[in-house]
Amino acid sequence: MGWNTKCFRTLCCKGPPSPRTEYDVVCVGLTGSGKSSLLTQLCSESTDSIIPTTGFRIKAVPFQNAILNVKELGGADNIRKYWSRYYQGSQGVVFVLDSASSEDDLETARNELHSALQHPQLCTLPFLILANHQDKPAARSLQEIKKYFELEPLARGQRWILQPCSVENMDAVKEGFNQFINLLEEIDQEHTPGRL
Amino acid sequence: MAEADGETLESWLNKATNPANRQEDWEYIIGFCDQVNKELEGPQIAVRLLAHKIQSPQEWEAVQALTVLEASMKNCGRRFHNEVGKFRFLNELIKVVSPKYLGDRVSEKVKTKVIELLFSWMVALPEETKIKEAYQMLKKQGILQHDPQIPIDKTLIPSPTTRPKNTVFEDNEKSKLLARLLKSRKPEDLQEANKLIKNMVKEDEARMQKITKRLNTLEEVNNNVRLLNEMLAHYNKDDSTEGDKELMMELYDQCEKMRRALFKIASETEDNDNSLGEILQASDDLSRTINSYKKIVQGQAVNGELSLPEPPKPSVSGGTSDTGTLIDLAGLDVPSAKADPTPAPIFPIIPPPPNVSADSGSQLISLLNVNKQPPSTTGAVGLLDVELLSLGLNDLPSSNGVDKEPGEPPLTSFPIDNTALNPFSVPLAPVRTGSSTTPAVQPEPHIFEQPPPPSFPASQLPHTPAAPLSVKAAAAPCAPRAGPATVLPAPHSLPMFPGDSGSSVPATFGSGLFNLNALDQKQWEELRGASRVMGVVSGTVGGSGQCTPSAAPGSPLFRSLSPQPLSPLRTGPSEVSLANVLVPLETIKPSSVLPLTAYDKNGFRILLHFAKDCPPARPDVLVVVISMINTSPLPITSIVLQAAVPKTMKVKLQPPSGTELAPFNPILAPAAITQVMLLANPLKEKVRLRYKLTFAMGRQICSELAEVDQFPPAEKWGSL
Repeated sequence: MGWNTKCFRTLCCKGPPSPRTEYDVVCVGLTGSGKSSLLTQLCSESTDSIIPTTGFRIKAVPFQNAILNVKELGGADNIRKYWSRYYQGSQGVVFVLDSASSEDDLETARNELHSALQHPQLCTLPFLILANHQDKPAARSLQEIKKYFELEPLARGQRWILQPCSVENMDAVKEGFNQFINLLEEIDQEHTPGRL
Repeated sequence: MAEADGETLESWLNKATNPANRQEDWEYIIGFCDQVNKELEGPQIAVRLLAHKIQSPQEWEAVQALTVLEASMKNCGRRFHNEVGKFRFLNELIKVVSPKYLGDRVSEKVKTKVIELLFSWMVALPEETKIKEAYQMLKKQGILQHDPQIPIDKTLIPSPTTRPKNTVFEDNEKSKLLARLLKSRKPEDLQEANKLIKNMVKEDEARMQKITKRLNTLEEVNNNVRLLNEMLAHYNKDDSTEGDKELMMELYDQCEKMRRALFKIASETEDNDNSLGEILQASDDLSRTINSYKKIVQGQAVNGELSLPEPPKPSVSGGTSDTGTLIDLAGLDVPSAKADPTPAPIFPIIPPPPNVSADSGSQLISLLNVNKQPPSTTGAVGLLDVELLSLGLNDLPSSNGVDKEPGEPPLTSFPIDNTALNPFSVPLAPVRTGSSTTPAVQPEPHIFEQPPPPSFPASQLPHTPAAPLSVKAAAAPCAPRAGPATVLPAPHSLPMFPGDSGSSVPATFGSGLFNLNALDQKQWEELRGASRVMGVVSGTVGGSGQCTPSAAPGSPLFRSLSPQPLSPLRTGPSEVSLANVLVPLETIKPSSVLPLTAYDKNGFRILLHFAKDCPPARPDVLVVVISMINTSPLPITSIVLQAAVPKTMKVKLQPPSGTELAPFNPILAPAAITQVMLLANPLKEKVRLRYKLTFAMGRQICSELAEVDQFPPAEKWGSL
């Protein structure tokens, strides 16, 4: 992580007038899937003190071309019902799932993903699906996830990226995010042709 | 900002209504609501504090206070609603809007909000009638002109039907707030939004926990109740093992504890009715079982609920007479059979006084086949009542004796005009006895209209010479109508007889039968002398109160008379007469109205059960089954019950199933006496039943004079 953080730090410390666009993104997923950890790591902060999120947190995650203002919502059962309150104003969705979770949890995750994909406020937005915890032995592979989550049939017509990753491998994460940002930019350009 | 636990309501409210707040601080508002729910006296203190803040001269403070009030109404449940729905608080709100108090100094915004709140509460909480009153008063005084237009979703009741799974959505204000906060870029706003969400989540959690706790407790209760009941069923003082007894005692303790816990849960529940119903049901089960236990194992007399009228709940077992008295009564039905045959009875009355006088008229009664009760007064005339009662009750024998003499001679002097009697089979009846207080002497015609009572052989009238005597009897308070029986002597005209003075009354007690309603004054005078005796009770007179068979009295008369004379007594085809009404116990169907406890001392209980239907063709008559039960260790003997009702009604007691009750035995079903009482109340007035009860418990003679007036309203008789 060393060089990465260095890189980021420099980027971050670069002065204000960075022409990086900001996008509002919402990050959801079951509890324990790794949302907080990933985001924290993306911001080069320590993940030692991370506890299950009981509300939400907002992080401005800097990337090379953009800053993502990520609203990360807790995924516990009792908070999940409040997700939809946060959708308003989002431009993209990051869905994190634990590839190595139990069958039941996986099924729950699938249901949640489907709901999100079909939610009126989100169905037109690009999705970044992070199949996290790939470092675990029980992790399902990319193909398995794709199949299990029925992404092809279900998310047809929508823009989505499925990225396997883990906190150990932040590169993959960033790769995913970068692609995601590209998507966001495309959409942005579609909507406001003149702007870049 | 970290949660501040342990803060007081006041501090929460101060923070929530701080004029320095830039905007509504939901953390404090929710904190306040939580604190209200936590504290025992939360709602009471809260409304007091809120009232004060709402009246603040600073508009922002008042507006915030109103927001807190609204939030509290939504979150603090029924306890809070109750406090707000009291005039103590409502008056404070009224002061805010009323020009007479603070209205002129208060901003429009605050006033409008107050009115909106009142209106929405009035709509959403119809059971808080005072809110409605307050609102309407404001309207009436012109302080507010039209009802505020507020969207329905602002109503605060989390009504079960419309409540979506997510309670956040109900609370539109909160959602709007949240949305707004989330949209904003300011970190403070986002922080607040975060807090808001966390609070909501916590509320949800608390709610879920409450529900699970409730479910668990209910289940525990059910299990315990079932187990204890089973054990009670198999319990035998001598046979049950020590272990069993200990276990039962433990279960009993647990039941008590759980009952308390249930009450607590019930008071906390703000959910829809289902849960409350279940809780109450469980609590009832517990009470029943606890009582069962006490009764069976500890042999104590338990208060009301346990015995007889207990609804047949499967769970309760163990010796308690679960099944409602009537079923038990059916077993004791035999005696009542005696009561059935009726009209005829008169004849038997004839027997010589001594027989009659004995035994407080019960003998006589059976002879007469009429009422058991000797003296029943209408109670309307207090003094008279007492006199009558005492006379009837105590002097039964003596009066009989006394009356005898005077009675006889006069007898002969009253030729009764039979013919006259016939046409008016009724009329005889309405002779008003001595009660000077009798109001309306019924108009003659009225009487005449009355249809002859079925069983009254007008033909018997001819034998009436004795009748006149009986007339007198109509113990004073004979109701105007009444008249059953009254054999009106001088039947010529059956003019109404404005009851005689008290003098006739006493003696007449027994003679009561005759409501000398219609009797020629003159004739009356004549009669008076004679009638003293009368005691012929037949209590028939529809049992109209007063007249009740004071057995003996009439006897001497009877001696010289042929049996028939008494029949006229029976007659009394006045609409109020109960003479010809007899309701056998088997035909009585219990109603859904709870029984009344008429007497309950030392293990001797008397309950009045109301029957569902009226006797056929008599919609003005209430059928009451009196049940007496003995849960004391002493035998109760010589039970005599006498009843009296106001003049405008009539009461008739059919013979009881018995007059003795064995001491309580936990193994067997408790002994019970049943007696049917008919109460005619054609004027549908409030029923007041005075009773005198005498009995011997062990070797001690007791008597009780009391009144019962919690009868079901007369309009409902027939469909109870």
